[in-house]
Amino acid sequence: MAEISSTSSSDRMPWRFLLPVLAGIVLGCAVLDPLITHGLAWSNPSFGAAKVHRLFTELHPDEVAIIGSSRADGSYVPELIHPAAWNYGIEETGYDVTRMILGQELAKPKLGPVIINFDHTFFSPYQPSIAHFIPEVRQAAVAECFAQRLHWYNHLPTLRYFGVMDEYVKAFLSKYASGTVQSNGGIFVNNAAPPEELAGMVQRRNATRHAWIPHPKEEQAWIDLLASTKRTLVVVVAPYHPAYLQAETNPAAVQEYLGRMEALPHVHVVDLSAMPLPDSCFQNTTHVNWAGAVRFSKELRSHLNALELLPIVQE
Amino acid sequence: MLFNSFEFICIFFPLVTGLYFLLPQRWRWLLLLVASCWFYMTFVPVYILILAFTIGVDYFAGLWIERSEGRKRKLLLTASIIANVGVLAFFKYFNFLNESIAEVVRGLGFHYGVPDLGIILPIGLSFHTFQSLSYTIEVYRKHQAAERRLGIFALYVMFYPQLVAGPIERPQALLPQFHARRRFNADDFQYGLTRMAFGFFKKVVVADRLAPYVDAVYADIPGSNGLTILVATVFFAVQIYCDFSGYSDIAIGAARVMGFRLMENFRRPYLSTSVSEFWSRWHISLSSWFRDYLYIPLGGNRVVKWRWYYNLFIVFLVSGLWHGANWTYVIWGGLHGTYLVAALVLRPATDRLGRALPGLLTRAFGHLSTFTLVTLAWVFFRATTAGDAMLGLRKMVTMQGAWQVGNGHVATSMFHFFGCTAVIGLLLLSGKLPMDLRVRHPRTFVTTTVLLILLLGRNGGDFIYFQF
Repeated sequence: MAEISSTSSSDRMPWRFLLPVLAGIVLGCAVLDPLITHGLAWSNPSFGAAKVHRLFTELHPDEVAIIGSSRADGSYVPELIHPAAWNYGIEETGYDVTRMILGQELAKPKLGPVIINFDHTFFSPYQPSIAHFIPEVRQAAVAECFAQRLHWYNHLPTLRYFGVMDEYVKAFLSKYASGTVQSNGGIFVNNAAPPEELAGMVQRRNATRHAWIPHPKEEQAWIDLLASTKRTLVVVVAPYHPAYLQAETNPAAVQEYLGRMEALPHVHVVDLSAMPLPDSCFQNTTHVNWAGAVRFSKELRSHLNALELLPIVQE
Repeated sequence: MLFNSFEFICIFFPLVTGLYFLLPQRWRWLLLLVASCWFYMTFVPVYILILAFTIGVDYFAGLWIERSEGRKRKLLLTASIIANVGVLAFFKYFNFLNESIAEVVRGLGFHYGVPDLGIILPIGLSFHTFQSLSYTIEVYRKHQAAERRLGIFALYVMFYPQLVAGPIERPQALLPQFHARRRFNADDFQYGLTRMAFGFFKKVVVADRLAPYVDAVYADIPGSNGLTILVATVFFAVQIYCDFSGYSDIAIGAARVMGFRLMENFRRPYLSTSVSEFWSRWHISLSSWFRDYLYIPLGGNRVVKWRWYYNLFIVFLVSGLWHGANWTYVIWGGLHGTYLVAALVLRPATDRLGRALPGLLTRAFGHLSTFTLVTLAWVFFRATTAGDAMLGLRKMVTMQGAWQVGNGHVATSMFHFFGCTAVIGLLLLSGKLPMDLRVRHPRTFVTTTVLLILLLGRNGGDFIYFQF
């Protein structure tokens, strides 16, 4: 077949088009990044990204930090526990992230206690949304904790937020949502689960069983981390619905590990997992709602006061 | 490797394009062939052997057909068709046929012992098989000279932009382009990137935003109310258009950057005023393939009326089966065949009505009825089973269930519903752009589109048509 030509005599080179486009994109990204970070990601103090930012960049010497998973986020009403308490609970966090957050908190020049919510599934693998951590990706602890999940583009302005913008928009809008109550970092669902819905969840719980699965390496590393500080650490187990506890096949293993933590001289365990609460205080079998959070937080405060673990409030 | 992956956008595409222009002309075909092999092998590497088989068979078939005459020529073409369709049938339809036969045999109370082979469909098999087939048919018809260079022919079948989901090219259009001596062309480069940017917008911003909503509803048809299914079906109509035409835009753009011209695959199909017009605007490369290689050989419309209708119906039935080995696709194709036959039967009456009504009203009715019919057919295309599709249709028509959007799944929450609606709004706004995407300020267009993708895009998955 004879060769044919479809050439052009155009002498323009690719950069005549590419350079302005790339410059526009770089400029756009540079402008948009702080807008997204400040205007959306950190806009709601109850959103994980704002909590992580506060944890890594702010120092509040008298603050009582409450850390843990979504059960911490939605169960501890900081203002009812202590005026200087701040809820750092982030949904879907387990051992890895809690360890990183506790490590960061303990590295601060503070003396006050830390309240750690401890779940019965604490050592199970959880994957919190990376959206909470992207704005702080330059922090060595974050980079190390999320090394497996971070991509190179997570370090570039605006590009780093690709795919997670929804979560920031939701967090921004949730400031104005009517179904939730927010207090010092905590976010609480107002409504209880409708009785028939909760009955369905209870039925599903009754039909399944779950157990404390031993993670010897992680369990020891966690004990070592707790032992590495002299600050008072209060390990609290927030309430579960009775159906959840009944579905547990080896509750003794949980108690045994709580005992291991309590054996440390500066660690106190407050187990309120079986605190009696009516169904109207639950949004599901593992999370309380606002009413449940209020009752639990008051109960926790009285426990902590009795143990004289909270700093005295200066009038 | 997906087009919408960072590996493609940031490494593969710039590297291949850059090297293409840096290399001397005589090595370029080799670069493209190696790149295409690499591109394909990032999916299931061993399946490259299937492509090699197809390429080998059709390369030699082409040469031998060209040299032969009469019965031998026809025999060679038949052998090539059997080899191509055989591969397609085995990998795509064996499980389907096996399951269908098993159901019938077991229904009759007999034992059926042929096991399910668990075959994984090679990506884009239907596309490159059809492209390769068109070559041997065109050589047979003496519309195309047989390609002497095996590498160039392999590249014709494997050219990476259109390897896995088309457009299904014809040898007359594509083969000469691989022989052409070309230099960098700034217009092609600029236009190619513009097309790619818009394709990514359609896929990453629109289709991938709609997908979770549609998936959540179609995974739970029994638990979804009529209104939610209706919304999900309309969303699916937009999703599949943006997913597939987005892919085509990226393919056309990626090829154009290097100076290659691929055929258009979509021309705003939802603006059609009839189903027949829809098929001249939707997946044009496939519908024209069926027209040239099935409909016309069957006799087309140059036959008695009933045979014409039969030809049309058969073509759409086969087109449905081409899309997937499932009865839902067959029904989808059958529905479109029925629409077209019905339109032909009713044409005298609709023509009279059209003349009696104002033009604007006729056009509006045409748009609305076409979109409705096409969308109804999508229910079968998207549903997992025909039973689910029928249930979904029944619920939609009777508006069964609560009068609210969403089925309790988080992906169908009001937040996501409004997100989906917003991106559809953006897509409608893009209707203001010229159809050929020859925008006045391409630099601004590409910059804005990329920023929109970064802000509104989602980490989506495969393109829908990859499974075909």
